[in-house]
Amino acid sequence: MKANLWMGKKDVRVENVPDPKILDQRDAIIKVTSTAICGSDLHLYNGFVPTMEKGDILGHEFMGEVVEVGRAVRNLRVGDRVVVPFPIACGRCFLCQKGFYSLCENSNPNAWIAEKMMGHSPAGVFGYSHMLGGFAGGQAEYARVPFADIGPLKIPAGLRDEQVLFLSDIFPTGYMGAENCNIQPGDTVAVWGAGPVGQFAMASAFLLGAERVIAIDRFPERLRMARDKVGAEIINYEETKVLEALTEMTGGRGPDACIDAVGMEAHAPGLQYAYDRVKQATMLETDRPIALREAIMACRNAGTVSVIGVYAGFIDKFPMGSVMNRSLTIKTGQCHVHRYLKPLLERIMKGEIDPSFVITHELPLDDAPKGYDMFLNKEDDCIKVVLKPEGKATIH
Amino acid sequence: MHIKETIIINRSPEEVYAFWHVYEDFPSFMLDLESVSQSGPKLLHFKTKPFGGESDEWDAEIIIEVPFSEIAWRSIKGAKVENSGSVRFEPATGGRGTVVRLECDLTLPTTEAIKAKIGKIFGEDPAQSFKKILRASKQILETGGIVISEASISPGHPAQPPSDSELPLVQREYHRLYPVIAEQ
Ligand SMILES: NC(=O)c1ccc[n+]([C@@H]2O[C@H](COP(=O)([O-])OP(=O)(O)OC[C@H]3O[C@@H](n4cnc5c(N)ncnc54)[C@H](O)[C@@H]3O)[C@@H](O)[C@H]2O)c1
Ligand SMILES: [Zn+2]
Ligand SMILES: [Zn+2]
Repeated sequence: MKANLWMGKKDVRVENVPDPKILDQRDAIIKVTSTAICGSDLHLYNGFVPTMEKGDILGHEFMGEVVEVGRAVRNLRVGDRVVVPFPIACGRCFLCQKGFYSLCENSNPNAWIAEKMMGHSPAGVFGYSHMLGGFAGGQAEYARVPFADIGPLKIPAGLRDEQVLFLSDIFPTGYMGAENCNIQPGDTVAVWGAGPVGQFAMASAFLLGAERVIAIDRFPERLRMARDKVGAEIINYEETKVLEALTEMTGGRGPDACIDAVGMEAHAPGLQYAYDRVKQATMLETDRPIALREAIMACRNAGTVSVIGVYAGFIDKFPMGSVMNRSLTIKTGQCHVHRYLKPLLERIMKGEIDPSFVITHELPLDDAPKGYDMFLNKEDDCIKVVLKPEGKATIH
Repeated sequence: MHIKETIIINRSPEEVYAFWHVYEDFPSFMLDLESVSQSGPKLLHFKTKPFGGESDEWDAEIIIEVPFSEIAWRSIKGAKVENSGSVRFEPATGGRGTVVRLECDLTLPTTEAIKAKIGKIFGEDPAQSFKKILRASKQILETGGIVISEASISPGHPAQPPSDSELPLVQREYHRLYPVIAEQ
């Protein structure tokens, strides 16, 4: 089959690899009909996540048709259309049973590597480094899905791939980011990063009852999407000082909750950016926490800072004094996608949200390298790329 | 060398003990073993998979067997790597399953040639290979089998499916199938 392979920094290639096979009784094989490129994939593309190997199949956002099931998989049948959550979870361990699926205690065969870096290991993830399991990803014609009796969500007829594909990751991720803010009537929520994850965090903040949502980014097309499609107020951080603007917009109190939907490769105009670039390049810190620092400083006293942008290692100049003295709550995590599948599918079916609004480009799988490049460089106002193993290019 | 590793398994001490008590089944989760056979009432014969063409074999006696609580062993004179140890089972707090504690004393031989071989049998880092054994037992008891990824095919293998010739390295048939824990 064809698959999109990580070959090194800024080098992905679509090549032929063996077809996946059932390796375990709880596996299923999916024929992929749609798969997306995520901001998290850019961290791999830019070489910021350790333990990638040449030839790893990328991709953790995918859906398709079941073509084979292992003998312990009783809930799926050949021909079912399913969306696959990006964390791999057994459903049976202590943390899975508490609903923390992205922290499954069993699904990472390379847990020992992650333990060395982080103390304890998170769950395995499709196509996301050997430290997180070494699982083949879904940017391919077919994918093996472990624990298929727990993960995949069956999609009722009548919904297009584009409406449900993002249940695999970015819609639940944005939703969890907003849910972690414990939103109360009258709340104002500020979101750093108007990428696809940020867009869903903003839309979810409204679904969960926020009165005002403020988007912070520098790309006009992304801010426009946040304003026109989601209903957010916007701040372009290249034109406006963010802290001053937020103070002014919230009567001096600060947003009740701040969401970091940027992560470890944050950009900033000016000196701070140079400082963090140098530290990162010389390995004195692994991540650039520019948006996170600003989110902390901006947040109102006793507010919540919700971190869904991905961090991999260590950060520098973390304003702990601000967190401690002002009773801030920090909530974070890789999304526990399984928890949100059914409730968010229901919201889609009720017409409360149509997640396809973030898609700007649809490309055949063969053009994955072009898709990565466009998404990274925001070429042609690219916001979200969907890859079609059997498809033609369309521009939304 | 003294090694101590521990893990919590989401099953009762009775179930976990019953699993560990079937000595012939050790190779299903101690993947470097080829076979374990009962060679006397309290005697076990261990045989490893061949490393560099040669298997290692030794005998051990079971010195403690307390149902649902402890199993302890000691290798018998003649083993290349003298080893003794115990597995203890304790109820975890709040009914959260069983704490399994594995302790082992290894007398590592001195010559380089044998050291290299031990490296293969117990892994580069013996503590790590004991942790692996605990993890594998947890995975079987909780999920029904040992969890594998495409990269499990061989060290450094990229995350892509096995070729037909690599398939036997990762496709597993369990001779003992544990029913998965009912969903809550
Ligand atoms: N927690 C999870 O489970 C989870 C799941 C998916 C993605 N993520 C992470 O979410 C983050 C965003 O993903 P995405 O797909 O939207 O990526 P993206 O790269 O498209 O979006 C990031 C956005 O942040 C903006 N940005 C950069 N620096 C900024 C700053 N200082 N202030 C404000 N905005 C800034 C960029 O201009 C860009 O629009 C990534 O770190 C990704 O890894 C987390
Ligand atoms: Zn993603
Ligand atoms: Zn689990």
